[in-house]
Amino acid sequence: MATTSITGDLRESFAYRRFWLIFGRDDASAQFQHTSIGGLFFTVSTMIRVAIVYFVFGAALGHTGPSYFGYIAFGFPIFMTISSSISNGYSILKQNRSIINSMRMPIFALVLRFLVSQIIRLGFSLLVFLGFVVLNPGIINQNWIWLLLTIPLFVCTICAIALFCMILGAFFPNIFEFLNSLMRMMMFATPIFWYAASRHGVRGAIALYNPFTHIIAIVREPALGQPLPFLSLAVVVAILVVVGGAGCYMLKRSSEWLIYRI
Amino acid sequence: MALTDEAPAKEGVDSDVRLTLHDVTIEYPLSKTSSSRFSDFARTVGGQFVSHDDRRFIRALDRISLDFPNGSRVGLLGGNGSGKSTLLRTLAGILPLTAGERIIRGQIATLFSAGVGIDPEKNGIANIYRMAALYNIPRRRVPELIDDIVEFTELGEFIELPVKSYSSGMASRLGFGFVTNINADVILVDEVIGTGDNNFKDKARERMERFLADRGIIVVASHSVEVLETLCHTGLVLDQGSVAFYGDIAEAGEFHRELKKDQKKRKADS
Repeated sequence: MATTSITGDLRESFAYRRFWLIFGRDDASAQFQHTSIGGLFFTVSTMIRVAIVYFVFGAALGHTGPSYFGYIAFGFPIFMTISSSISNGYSILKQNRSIINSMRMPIFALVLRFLVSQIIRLGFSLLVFLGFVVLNPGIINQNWIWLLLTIPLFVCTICAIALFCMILGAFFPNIFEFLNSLMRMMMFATPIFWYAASRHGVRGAIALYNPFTHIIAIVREPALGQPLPFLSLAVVVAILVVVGGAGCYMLKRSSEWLIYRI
Repeated sequence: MALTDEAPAKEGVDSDVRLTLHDVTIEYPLSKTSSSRFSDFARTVGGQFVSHDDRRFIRALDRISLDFPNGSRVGLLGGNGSGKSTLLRTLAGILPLTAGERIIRGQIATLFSAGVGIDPEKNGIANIYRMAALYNIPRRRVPELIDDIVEFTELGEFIELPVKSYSSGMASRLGFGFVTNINADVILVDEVIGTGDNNFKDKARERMERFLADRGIIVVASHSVEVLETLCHTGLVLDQGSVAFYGDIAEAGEFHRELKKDQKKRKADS
């Protein structure tokens, strides 16, 4: 199925880059192939969701104005990407079952296939935010430079989370229901519709100790022209090291035997 | 002792191409707790149930030793669950060995099902690009592959249609046409040829002969002795994960028929 060393698997995965680029692209396009607007389907669907949240939650929470729209338009797609990397990452091996059963394929290439499809979806979804930026060019300032650091960090973190969940899902297949429920709950426990800074007490603690808050914050705050939250940056680096390290360790220990776990 | 196919290597062929198994055992681990954790492989294999290290396994291959040098064309015969598919996946380097040693020299292409890498919503040409990516074939080679595959498969204008509109025979031809075109050193095929009509079987044989004229090893598993007799010169009959017969393909076919009769008789008696 794959090479036994992590570095060997990574190296081989890079050699298979056309596989994960083409298959990842096709996975993303499979979701909109029956629509006439193509990838803009993700954009329109995000636009509708953001609008609903803006008018329903915004009114209920007392948040209005263009800055709140930008806050949701960026945070919501980012949250959905993190959520998807957890709740769908667990089934990566199952999705690639026929390939795994038929040829030697580096396992990391399967994670990258998943990652590419997620990034394409995210890209189309963030077009709503891009539209917002075009209408509000004032939010572009020197803080955007941080995005050069935080976007790759975000992508690497998503990749590490997907790798970890993939291996976890191979050994605990019933985890799906739990993860789905967890993600539904996290949507409300994560500052996507509400501002973490405006909450104190339990709500504030939930935001502070919620890792999703920090993963979102490192890209959302600079994108909204705000200073980079260094606490969040440190938390995300720690998440990347711990989750990525655990994923690589589990992969090294089990890569050959994962084939029996599909 | 390893069973060796003595086929002479062709002139101008890389004589390093070789598949060797030495005392190879494959055991599928079974879950202690739940039948739902039965892996895809274990679900479809036969063999003996064995227990060790406080766990249960299905022993699908039992101390198999084989040596296929360049130029080998081997047909695998055996009943359901005899270990044909497991042996092919072992030769392909997909399954981890429980015991023994495996040496693979050469690039391997597999055709274990017609659908690997194929997106039924996309047309034949898009799927050739997908398969090329899956097998890491350089993009610049793909147009030349397309011409050859279209000619071989006789798909004509169907190549422009989504694969979901193809018959199973047409889809098989697409997959077979691809793997026999990518300059692999070894081709491992599981049953797929049996799904085509006689015309396709003839073309598949011609294609394999052409392939062997240039290079390589072919191992084909099938229930059909007739198909294997046209493609291979050596036959290997598996029974319960062990080699029951290895030799001339016609004799292997005869042995397989007798074995099936014996098994039927034993079943009826019991």
